[in-house]
Amino acid sequence: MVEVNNLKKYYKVHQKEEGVAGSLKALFSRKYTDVKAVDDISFNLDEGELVGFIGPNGAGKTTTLKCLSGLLYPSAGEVTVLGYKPFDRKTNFLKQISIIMGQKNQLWWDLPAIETFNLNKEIYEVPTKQYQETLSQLTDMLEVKNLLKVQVRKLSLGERMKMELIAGVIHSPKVFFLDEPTIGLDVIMQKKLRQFIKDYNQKYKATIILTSHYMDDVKELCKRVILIDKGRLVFDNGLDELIHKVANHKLLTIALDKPVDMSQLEELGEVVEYSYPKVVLKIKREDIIDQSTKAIQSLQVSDITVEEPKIEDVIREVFTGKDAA
Amino acid sequence: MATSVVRHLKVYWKLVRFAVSLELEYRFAYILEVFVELAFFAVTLMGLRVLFWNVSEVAGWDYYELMVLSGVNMVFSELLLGTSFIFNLRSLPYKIVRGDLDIILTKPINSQFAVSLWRPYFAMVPSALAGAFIAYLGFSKGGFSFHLANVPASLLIFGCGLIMAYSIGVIVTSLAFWFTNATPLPMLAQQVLFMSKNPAAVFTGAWRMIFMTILPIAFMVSFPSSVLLGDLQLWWLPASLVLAVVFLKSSNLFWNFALKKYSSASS
Amino acid sequence: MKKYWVDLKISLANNLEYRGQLFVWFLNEFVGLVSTIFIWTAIFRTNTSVGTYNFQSIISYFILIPLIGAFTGVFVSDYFPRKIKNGEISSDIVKPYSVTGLIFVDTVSVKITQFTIKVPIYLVAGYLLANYFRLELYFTHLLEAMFVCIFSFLLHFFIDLAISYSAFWFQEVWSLGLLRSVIITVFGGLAFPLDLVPEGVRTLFSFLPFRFIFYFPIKIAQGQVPPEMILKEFFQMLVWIGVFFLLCRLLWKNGLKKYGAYGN
Repeated sequence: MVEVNNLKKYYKVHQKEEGVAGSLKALFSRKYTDVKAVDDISFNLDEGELVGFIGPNGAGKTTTLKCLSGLLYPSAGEVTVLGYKPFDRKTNFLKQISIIMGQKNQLWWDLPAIETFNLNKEIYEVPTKQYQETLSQLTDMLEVKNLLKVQVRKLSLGERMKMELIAGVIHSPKVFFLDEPTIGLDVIMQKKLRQFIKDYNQKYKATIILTSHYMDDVKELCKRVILIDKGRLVFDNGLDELIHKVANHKLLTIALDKPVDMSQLEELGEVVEYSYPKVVLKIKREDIIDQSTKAIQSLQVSDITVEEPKIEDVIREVFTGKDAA
Repeated sequence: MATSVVRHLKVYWKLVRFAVSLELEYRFAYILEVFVELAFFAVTLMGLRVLFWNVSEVAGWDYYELMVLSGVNMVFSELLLGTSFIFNLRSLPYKIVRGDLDIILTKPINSQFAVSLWRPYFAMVPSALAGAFIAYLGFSKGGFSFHLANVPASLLIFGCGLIMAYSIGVIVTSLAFWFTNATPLPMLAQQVLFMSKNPAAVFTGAWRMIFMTILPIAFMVSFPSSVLLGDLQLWWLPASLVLAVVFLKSSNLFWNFALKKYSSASS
Repeated sequence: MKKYWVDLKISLANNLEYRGQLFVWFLNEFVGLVSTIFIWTAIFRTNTSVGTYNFQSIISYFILIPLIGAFTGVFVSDYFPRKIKNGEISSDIVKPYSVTGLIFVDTVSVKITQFTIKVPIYLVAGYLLANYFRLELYFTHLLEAMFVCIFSFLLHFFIDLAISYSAFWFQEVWSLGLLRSVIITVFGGLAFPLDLVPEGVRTLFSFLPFRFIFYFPIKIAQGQVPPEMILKEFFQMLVWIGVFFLLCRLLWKNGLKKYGAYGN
């Protein structure tokens, strides 16, 4: 379905110096530097795979997606999606793909969402029967049937995102790209969207590439993850392996009221940092509730926070093979 | 190829209906827009009046002939601005800077069409009608004789002129891919195209050649008006067809070229 | 005071970024001028005078427009009404300096940027055109005109500010801004020199303040206003500036009350 061989994408950025003098200088001459957004990436995807691209900001995830969807012309390497070269932007290719970006919308703001769906129906030439069926199924899955005739601007952020998803898949694409779909949404909405993507993938067997920098997105959805950092592919394997290898813990940060012995802390979990009053412990995911409770009971605590290990840390761990958090 | 055209026409029809709903939604704004358009038209007519308080003809055109010209010009500029400039070409530089083109480019729709014709501006309708009315007024008050046969010829040249103007607008606006931050580029295109409001006779010598070929503004307003006023030069008909095709094709080529540059150099 | 200076510097730095934009704006004005020259050349092919103007004086009138416009143009009503509508001025109001002052500083900074780029180009282009068409323009008159322009700018600024402040009451201020454009185009001497109209209409124009924005400075630059007249008109202009300044204060005070009433 999707074949990427040695993909490279470089582009030039100009450097500007500070202040008024810098601006004046820039009027006459500009310095350019090369940015290697994507630096030799290769991978293959089969039909129906749900893959997560994860990496920190600026890693090259979005750039790779744009190369796959025909928005960017690769500097080097080969990309084939559904047997087409994306950059040729052939009509038949575009009719079978979709790209949904969390922060960009295609819905017409002042019109009901269904109008945008109808427009897409015309653009993608979706047969009426198929359109009605798909629409019905999608609105059921996302529970928005009664919101179809409401103007988009009147919808909440979560409802709008659901409508964006429908608009993006109303033509039943075989391959679609989701770029940061859960960004800015509350926890409940994030869960709902993830469920939808999962159901959609199972039901329609579409190949889905998801980029995110939220671990939870990937955890719930992707059996396979591709880690990208600084434009390079750092990990391409099953999610289970990644989790087992790396991200099977959470971080517990405690603010102590009274200093305690290291040994007391070590009973709770691995001590990452202890500089009174701050303590950071590394605790296995399944133990986090128990240990947090223990911590509150056995220590004098004024504040307590539970955090995911950061993606950067996870990646660093994978990259160096060491425990960095 | 033909199915693609039909598909695009269907999509355009939907877009037209969207535009109408939106204008109805913001009714007050719509009325104000029309009012402002008419106000600017009135200014043009005022300028004409003031001029003719002091002279009796310009480049062989008298007051009523120029009135017809002004009317035709109003129809021309309103249609040009309304279909392509106001909501579409004018916002292209912004779309480029903000990366909003991505949504458009991933759809199986002709990108030039999507960028330049997406939303029609309906305030153009009453304004264009006002222009037609003034043209009619000038025609009847000036006592010109009306020949029905002139109308199709005039419409043909006018239609081709619109296509030429649209193509030039696309080409100039596409330069925004190179001059990021050059948001006034569409306005520049407009400014150049609005030189078409002058009777062709105003331009002499080398300029005349230029304005009938490289920048064929003579075909946009002046020649159609002349035809209505009874002066048709037969070569105008094939010339306008050829020019329309050439310019439209060029705009398409240039647009694709600019798009390629955009996708190669950005991220 | 230092606050204003820092803001000015930042505005300037931002404005210089837009080199492409400035270039295109300049091209825009140039094309407009070219079009005008074409028309008047054609008119004077078959007429020896239009009103009190010959070919030279009418061309010099239109050539002076961009130059004068560089001084007197203001664009506050292009952005400020939106800020009021969106409630964005809330953060500005609680700060310890005058919002009007800030707008003024921003406007002036834009002006200065435009000066440093536009004015030399206009002067050079104007000089070349003046030579080509054999126009009679004297530097002393230009200087006088530029001095008067400072006040034309102030007048235009307060008119535009008053329009902007009406956003407290009136939704579609952009239409007022465009109406201002229309009025200044007609009554300010932008579409045509005001002395081309018959006597009766001219008296109407003399009751309005708009001629000070273009017509008056241009005529001074052309050296066609006798000194006593300059003084007389100048004082009238000062009165109008006062009127609009007070109007702005009134609108701002009352506007803020209304703004606060909506829980902004």
